Amino acid sequence: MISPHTTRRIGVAPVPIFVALIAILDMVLPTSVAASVAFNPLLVFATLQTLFLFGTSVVVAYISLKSYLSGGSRTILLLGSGTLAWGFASMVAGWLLGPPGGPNIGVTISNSGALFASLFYIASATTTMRASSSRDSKRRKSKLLLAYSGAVGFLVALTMFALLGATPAFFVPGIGSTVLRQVVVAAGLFLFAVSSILFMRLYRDSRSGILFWYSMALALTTIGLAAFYFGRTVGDPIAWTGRIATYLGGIYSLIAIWSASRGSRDGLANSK
Amino acid sequence: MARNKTGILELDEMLRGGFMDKDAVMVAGSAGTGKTTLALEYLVNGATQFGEPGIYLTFEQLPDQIYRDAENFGWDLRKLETENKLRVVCTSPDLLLDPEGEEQLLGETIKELRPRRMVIDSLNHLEMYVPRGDLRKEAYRILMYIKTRGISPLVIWEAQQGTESSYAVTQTGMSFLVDCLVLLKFVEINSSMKKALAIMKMRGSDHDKHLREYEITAHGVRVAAPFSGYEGIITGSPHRSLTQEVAGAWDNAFTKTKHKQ
Repeated sequence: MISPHTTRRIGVAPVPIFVALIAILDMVLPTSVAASVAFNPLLVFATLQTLFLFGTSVVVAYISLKSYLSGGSRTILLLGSGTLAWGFASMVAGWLLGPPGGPNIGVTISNSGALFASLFYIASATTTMRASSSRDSKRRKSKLLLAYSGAVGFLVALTMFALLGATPAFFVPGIGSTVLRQVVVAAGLFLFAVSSILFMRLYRDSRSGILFWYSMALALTTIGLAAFYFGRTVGDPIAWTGRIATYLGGIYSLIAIWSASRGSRDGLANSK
Repeated sequence: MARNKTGILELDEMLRGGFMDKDAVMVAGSAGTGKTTLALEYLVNGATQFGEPGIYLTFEQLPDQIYRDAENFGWDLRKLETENKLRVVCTSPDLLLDPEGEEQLLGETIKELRPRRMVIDSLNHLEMYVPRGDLRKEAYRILMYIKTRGISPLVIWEAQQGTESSYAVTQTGMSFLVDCLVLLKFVEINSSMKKALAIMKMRGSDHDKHLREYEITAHGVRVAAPFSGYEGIITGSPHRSLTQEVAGAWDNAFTKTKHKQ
């Protein structure tokens, strides 16, 4: 039987591997080659996004919903909303990456959604620094409804605007990323990274498996966003490296849930 | 539809406004669950908040004991008696069981006080004086006497709480005599004893189906939120569903850690 310590050491390994892969690809991959090897099987991509990002986010958002309703923690409410926003944006972006609007619509939704979700994550991570919970249990349902529907509602509106061509360009075929995209991705990347570090700090104090796997999931998502930043074009090897990192992040968030179920069964939710 | 409010806000919400007027109510529970406190609060609130005088008929305690215990909750029963809003009647069950016993024991008081509520604490005491087979007949006779005088009876029944099963109320066949059954129960949750309240039946009315936690505070009974997320409370083996367990661990990981810092 592998000890939790060993499992976590293995769990950390993909982070430097993906960072190294992206760094190497960024150094050795010329733009012309990246464009020629870009691989965009739209149905496969949309399915992967739905399964690994939306599917996993729904599970995390549901557990956060149940947790918030019983405990009233704002940290959990924000975390659930952020996860839902990230999963929803990733799924919609996956299905809208191809024609007729071209990759710009999918890229706009994916990148803006990432920044939007990162705002929830950073708010969630910073509320862990102080006691923050809603004592009024009667209002929790309405707050939860407001937060979750607000997160999804914003992204639905963003999607509508993007489809109507009412959003600024994020990606121009033949030219590449716009400055706006670079700024949005950089901001989201920064906030995801800080959130991951703050949750990891919390893990250092508690040694909770849940916190370990969740902060690792955020770290892998951060790497995925970094790939958006460094990628030459949609579907190039850097982009796929980033996508795989985010899918692994989705799996890690499920491991965090599994860790919670195992911990609750054994009464060792915060075991070292 | 006329309702008799208990004056306990959350309980009245559970009862959709209060007990149905003239309905016979049974408060059942094991020793120490607060049956007498709940019944007294019902009478005191009726007399002080809703202008409904009441009679507290007890076979269990002496008057001084009752006055003293009530004072602990801030209820001045002597003052209410002086104001003709309440009567405390301490007697022996055999007096009530005599033919015409109810009339002799309560007739004058009813005429004088014109009560709207009456508590009998408790029906179990009748068991000492009547054969088991006649208990229901006698209880029915007493309840009918009270109801036909325009009074809403609330009877207390001390039910045994076994470890393996829920309650003995229905086994004794007493529950069918009453229109409303309020169950009080101890439950063990996370290694601590909690009290749970449920409306088991309420003829002719909707009611809250949740099992709610309640406490006996310095001001009487306070009903709290339902035991959401727990299963098996009534059967005596409460446990949380897997989803709730996971949600609890999730909450602990993200929020409890900071309190340690």
